[in-house]
Amino acid sequence: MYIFPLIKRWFEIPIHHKTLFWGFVRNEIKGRFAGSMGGFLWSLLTPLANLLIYVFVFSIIFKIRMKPMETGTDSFVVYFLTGLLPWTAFSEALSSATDTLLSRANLITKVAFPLEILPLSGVIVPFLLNGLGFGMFLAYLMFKGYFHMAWMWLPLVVITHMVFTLGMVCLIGSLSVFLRDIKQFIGTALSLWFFLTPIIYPLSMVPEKLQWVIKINPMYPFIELYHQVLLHHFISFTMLAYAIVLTLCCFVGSVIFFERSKYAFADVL
Amino acid sequence: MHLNAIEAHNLTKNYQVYLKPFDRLKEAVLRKPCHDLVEALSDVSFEVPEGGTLGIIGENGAGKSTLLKILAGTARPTSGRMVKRGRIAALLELGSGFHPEFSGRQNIYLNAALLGLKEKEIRDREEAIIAFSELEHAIDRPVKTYSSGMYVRLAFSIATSVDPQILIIDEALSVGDQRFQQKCVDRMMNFRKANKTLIICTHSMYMINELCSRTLWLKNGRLCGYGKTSSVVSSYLTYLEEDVPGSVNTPSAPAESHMPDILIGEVHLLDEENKSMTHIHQFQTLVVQVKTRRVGPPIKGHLAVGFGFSDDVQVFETTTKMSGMDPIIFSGEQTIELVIPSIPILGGNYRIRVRVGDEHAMREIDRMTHGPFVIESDHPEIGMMWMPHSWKTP
Repeated sequence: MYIFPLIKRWFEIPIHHKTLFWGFVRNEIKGRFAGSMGGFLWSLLTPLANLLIYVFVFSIIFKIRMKPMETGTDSFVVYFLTGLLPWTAFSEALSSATDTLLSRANLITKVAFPLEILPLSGVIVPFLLNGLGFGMFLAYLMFKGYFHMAWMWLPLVVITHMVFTLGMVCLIGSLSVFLRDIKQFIGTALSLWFFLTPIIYPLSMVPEKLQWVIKINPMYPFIELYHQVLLHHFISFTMLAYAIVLTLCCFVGSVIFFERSKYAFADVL
Repeated sequence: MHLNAIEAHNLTKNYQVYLKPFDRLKEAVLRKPCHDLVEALSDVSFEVPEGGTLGIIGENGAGKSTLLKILAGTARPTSGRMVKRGRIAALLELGSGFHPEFSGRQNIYLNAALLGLKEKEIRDREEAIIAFSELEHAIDRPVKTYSSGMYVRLAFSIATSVDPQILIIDEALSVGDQRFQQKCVDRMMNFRKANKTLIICTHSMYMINELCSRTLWLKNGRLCGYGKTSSVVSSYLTYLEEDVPGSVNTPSAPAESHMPDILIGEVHLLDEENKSMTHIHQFQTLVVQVKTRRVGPPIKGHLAVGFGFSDDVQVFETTTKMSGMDPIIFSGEQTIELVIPSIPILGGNYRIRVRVGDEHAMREIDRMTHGPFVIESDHPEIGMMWMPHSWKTP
């Protein structure tokens, strides 16, 4: 089968082209904060501001109360952050995905290099930046006594989540070379998607009749897994299996699409 | 047995041009063609042996860039086949991978990695790259503060230090100062000596003549001429001259000639002590030394030396015939010198065009453009010549 070498190639590239890969990652990070004095601090301040807004609206005005039986915590902030940080990594990766190839038109048409590096670094960067905040959040959770053996599932959840994101980025990235409209569309789609994912509310608050809307959302299992592992201290293997199958389908499909279309990039750009 | 570094068989490249982006979608959905087909390259075949040098010439839009993209591997031919042997480094655009916010040193790492080097290899070459680019003082500054010349110097240093088996260069040397250009040419010469394959695409016939053993001429995407540089270049120049309507140019070179009857080998600019010069002062003595070669029985001919901004704008040209001399008898290797005791040309960049013609100075046998070189002047006047003058004011 030709699909396996194809997938293997994606995981080998960061190793075989180490210098190039980390060069791109560094490029991306430095480019993001270029000229700003706050620099790295902004990647912490932005989610913090978001957090404050949502806490104010939902916890203080709407007075959402967490039921520890369902969510594993009675703190809205803890529940919210558990979902928000992984979501931010995902949504940042996706919203910059439209530019991963388009903004490098010059490079793609002039230099022959493994194009897979572009979506790969486009995923690593938001995960690294948000990982910083996530690490601090984990430390806070530990301090509050949330630590549990179930946390050992966390790396698996993060990796699955990353591979899923990579699949999406690579699909959106290559599609937007041909359909420039995606760039306009993705922002709106992401904000809609955010509210359809149980991040600011637990699934139990959704009327039972409408819960299927949330459940068909492909981000739902990932966010739920974070909630389960970090707060509930258990893992539902059906959920994990669902997430893995979803990831595989998304990734393999996108990789095939990317492979088919990558030779046309230089012609279209 | 010699292997070919590059073999191209019937390369064809078509571009689908969509008038509106919507047409692309319409075509994909309805499966009805909604595009215009543009044939950028059609049925081009050639081969470059290992250690060979190939020049690519042609007018704008002739398909040169498309061919280079296919050679470099960024574009795929629509049909046809290409075989490449060895690591290729392509300079289709200098510094296309540079990140403006990064320092020159960091860009060396990223750019060399783009061209396929490993971390350790880059570290080993870092010093050599910096030394060649002569940017020691600025290497840790962000490249956005570089001048375009510095940019080019860094990019060229990186690309050539990758040490590829095949180097592809597109019009890369049209920027940068003359001294650095010379350095680049020298480096490419060394490349050739090291039995590496070189492919150059340029409008500078001088560079093609200097560096390439074979040349490929593209016209409207088709192969119009392919073979020994001297013959392809001369027929290309003839074509260009014929193509310009009402051109009042000098007699054109014969198209059929393969090897010119008389070959202009080298042109040197010397001072009165026979020392080679690149910078010339106005009113200095200038000796234009021309080396010629004649293979075969002796033949009579005349030599012309002209100064100009380019091939079109001449400042001054003289021939041995105009000076009332008998035809020169060319035989074997010879040296001819034109002595100008005091050169009155004002400061600027000039080229020297040397031509050799038949005994009636009617038919051009060979030509060579030398330069550019610089004339430095202490006079502030404007124009091409300094004329002796005086003022009488009321």
